[in-house]
Amino acid sequence: MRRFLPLFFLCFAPPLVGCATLHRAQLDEIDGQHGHLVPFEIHVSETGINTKAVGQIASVAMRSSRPSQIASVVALFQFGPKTGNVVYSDEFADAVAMTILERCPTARVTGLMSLRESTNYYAVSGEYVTVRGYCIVD
Amino acid sequence: MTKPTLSFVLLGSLAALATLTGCTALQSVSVTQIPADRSRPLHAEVSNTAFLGIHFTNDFIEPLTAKLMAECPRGRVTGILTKQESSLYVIVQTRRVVATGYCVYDPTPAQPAEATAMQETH
Repeated sequence: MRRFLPLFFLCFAPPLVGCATLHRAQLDEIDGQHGHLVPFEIHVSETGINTKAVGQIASVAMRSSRPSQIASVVALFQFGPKTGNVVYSDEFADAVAMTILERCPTARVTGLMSLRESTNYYAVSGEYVTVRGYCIVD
Repeated sequence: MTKPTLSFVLLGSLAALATLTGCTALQSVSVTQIPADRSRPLHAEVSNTAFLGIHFTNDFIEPLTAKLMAECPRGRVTGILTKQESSLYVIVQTRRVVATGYCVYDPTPAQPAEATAMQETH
């Protein structure tokens, strides 16, 4: 069975490369009557880790089931509701509000669309927060 | 009573499977302030279908704001209910983001009376 794992991985991993997930979408009020609208986009990201997938890859590489078993135990500590994979720090999205003000110094923003999305690359993933909106300029 | 053929059983099973697995999941909902004037309701939606639910990008959501703005030119879109859902049809998954709201045209604010009074004194 174990010798078929690399073959299984080769068959199923390519379609999963770059698999995009949209977790949450939120759209705010759009004000198109108080000036000219200039679009902006803010994108912050962090690397996510799929512990089980890391264990599986390590098991294939080491030809041992031990890494996979360890990964399963580690995964027990990550149990619970979450969007996307676990990351090392959840502070990556904290700067979004200040970045909006940098992009729109007048602070007159409208049409904010907030997205929580991720792109999976089997064992690792990109965990993103994207904010698109418009800056109102006179 | 005749014995059902294999193809008949297969077709029946597929139909039953398709009926039972047409599952829809609601992933997120958000709502903004609802206006008093709700005479111009708006509706916009974007969707994205992929085989086995393997999507390579989330760009399908980008035109949503533009669609709402096109329905309310030079107005204010408010009371927006954004609903994100996904439906699985056996081997095909469709993601859908639906936004409903209201188009409001605020009355032009009147000039402050003090400004007129100040001009009169000069």
